[in-house]
Amino acid sequence: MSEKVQAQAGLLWRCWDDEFVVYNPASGDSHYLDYLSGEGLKGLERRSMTVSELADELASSCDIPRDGKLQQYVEQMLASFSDLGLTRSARS
Amino acid sequence: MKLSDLSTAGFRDRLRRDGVFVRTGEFVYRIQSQVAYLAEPFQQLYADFQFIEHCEFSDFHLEVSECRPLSEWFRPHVTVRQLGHFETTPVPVDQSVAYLEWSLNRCVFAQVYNRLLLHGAVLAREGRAVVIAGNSGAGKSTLAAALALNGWRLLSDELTVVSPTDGSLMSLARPVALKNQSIELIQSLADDAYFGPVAVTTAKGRVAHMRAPVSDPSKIAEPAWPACFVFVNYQAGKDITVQEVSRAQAFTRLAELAGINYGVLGELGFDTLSRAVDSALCLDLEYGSLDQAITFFDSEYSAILGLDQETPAVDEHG
Repeated sequence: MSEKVQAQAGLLWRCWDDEFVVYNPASGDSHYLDYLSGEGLKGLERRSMTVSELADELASSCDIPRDGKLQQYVEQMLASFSDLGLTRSARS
Repeated sequence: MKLSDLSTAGFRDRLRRDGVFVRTGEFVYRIQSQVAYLAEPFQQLYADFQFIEHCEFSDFHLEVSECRPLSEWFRPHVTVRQLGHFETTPVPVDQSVAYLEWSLNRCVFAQVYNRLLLHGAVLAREGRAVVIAGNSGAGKSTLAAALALNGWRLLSDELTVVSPTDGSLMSLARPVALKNQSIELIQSLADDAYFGPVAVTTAKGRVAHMRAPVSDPSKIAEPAWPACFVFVNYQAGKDITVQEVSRAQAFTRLAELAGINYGVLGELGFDTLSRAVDSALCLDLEYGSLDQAITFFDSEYSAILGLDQETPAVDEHG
């Protein structure tokens, strides 16, 4: 997936002990996010990214190997974010 | 002057005419009823509440009225009506206490939008509160009743009301609703506690209400601050286990499982729940007997409430 995505505007955050809860004012829902997912969504708040760009950024910022496993994880993560309405295409 | 200071006849007369005013936390209920059956248990259940001669404004105005459905012409029934809002279906008169109590809760569930409401019992010591949450049937009210009989101050057996301005938990301190075997279990722990009549055939089985134990009536309305959220689960015969839950996971569970109006409050709900969880200890507690749970709360209350970390602001036990 080479499309760039970005986080929905206006998300509210709480972080406790490397875990996150994010509130989406557009849906009125709040969601639990583990450390990697939280960092990923925060990254998409800073700028829009493709799957590969986000995987690169997470590998660097979270000090984890940049391999196919991470790429797959990020793909699934972005699919979940999209399903939950936490992200949108950067073109829109 | 307390409601128990009124004579039974005087209480019944007030109930019939102007109504009886009951203040719980920041809510004032006005309750009127011609149903003679209701007066004595209602006065007993609210015996420790302050007598209010008259109140120009009440938040919730309810009437309990006798009726005779055609199919039950020889058996008196009652309905509980909140003026302008709802009316229950007719129920036998021996269920009037239970239905009045549920209706008092329903008023708050359905009409309070300036506080965060969670399903959960609240008990406090020294101004700090533990919120007992859990699925239906997990034993919240039973445990709350047992702890209230064991020196904990009961703020609510069912409704956790969180202030968005200062994060405090409102004291409702209304009677504790007990169901089925819990009635006899709690009666066995409390020789001198008052129990209202047992309603036998309600939708929830047998139901009886216990007067909330009050050691200091002057503190009945005092709020407390959340120090611990405990997700309880009763499993008969199981050994007690206690596990810490991360705050983020506790937040999510409270919002999804216990949040009555969380979704409606939007950002206010998110902020208020965040603040409540922010410095609280969050635990999963599985227990197989009430004794185990009481022993745990009594032996660990300092740690649970964070009292060993700083000097408490309020001392309820002198």
